[in-house]
Amino acid sequence: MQGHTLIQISDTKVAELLGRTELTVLLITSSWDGHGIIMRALLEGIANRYPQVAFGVADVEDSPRLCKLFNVTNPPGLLFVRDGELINRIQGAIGGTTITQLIERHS
Amino acid sequence: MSDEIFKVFILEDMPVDLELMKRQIRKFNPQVLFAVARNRTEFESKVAPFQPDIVLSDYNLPDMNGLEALLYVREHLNSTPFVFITGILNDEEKVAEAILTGASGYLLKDNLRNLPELLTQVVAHNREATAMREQEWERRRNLQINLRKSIAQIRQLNVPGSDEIALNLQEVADNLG
Repeated sequence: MQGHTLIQISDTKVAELLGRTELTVLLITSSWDGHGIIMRALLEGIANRYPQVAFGVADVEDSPRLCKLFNVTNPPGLLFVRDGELINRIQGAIGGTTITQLIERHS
Repeated sequence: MSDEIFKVFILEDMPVDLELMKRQIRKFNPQVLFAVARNRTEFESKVAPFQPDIVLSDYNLPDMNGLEALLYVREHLNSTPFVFITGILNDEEKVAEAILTGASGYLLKDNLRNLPELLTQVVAHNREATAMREQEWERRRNLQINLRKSIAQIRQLNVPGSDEIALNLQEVADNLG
């Protein structure tokens, strides 16, 4: 099955992210973040199953405003945001099963 | 604050009160990110990692009271403003105790319409401390990024011992948060 392309989220899209009333799952990572690269591939595989959820990715170096907002200094960081509320924040690597469980709990 | 997002942590177990608070906070600043806790476990796991600009707390919660929450914030978040929003903090002793313990203010739930004005005062009063916290955060972020990029470079060297050095440095990075 072909992977879903994640939405590229940058500092200029913060207002859009906070205004969304449905769940957004945002991965903050970088090209030098091995665990983040794996988590990105996992999210691309999972995303097709949840059309009501927006899946995004941001670069830790290019997005200082997003990183400050979600207090991510040590990627990967996985954020669950809905209606302007940070409902869950995971710092560090987690597997596909845990990501799926968190999406189902929060969506 | 200007174009920055206002980060508000709310400790409140009543959904209706929570929504009313959010509505008033958005009147103060529509650009807001909330984090919410309804009990002690959620509060202690969420508040410090969120790094809020302000904490708003009910006084009576199912398994903790507001003073315990205030002491926790003073221990883990230094000078972050803390405001009680409560229906019962109406006897003078409790108000005095809260202020002496380091609360930035309090508001009765009946007067929630005054929350934007209170937030204006509290934010202005704490502007300097907020700026210092932001500078410290920026410094920590830059150090962390430099460290993580160095770890990635060491891994690519592929010389004897490089994996162990990378693992040790990764542990340092993880402990820095």
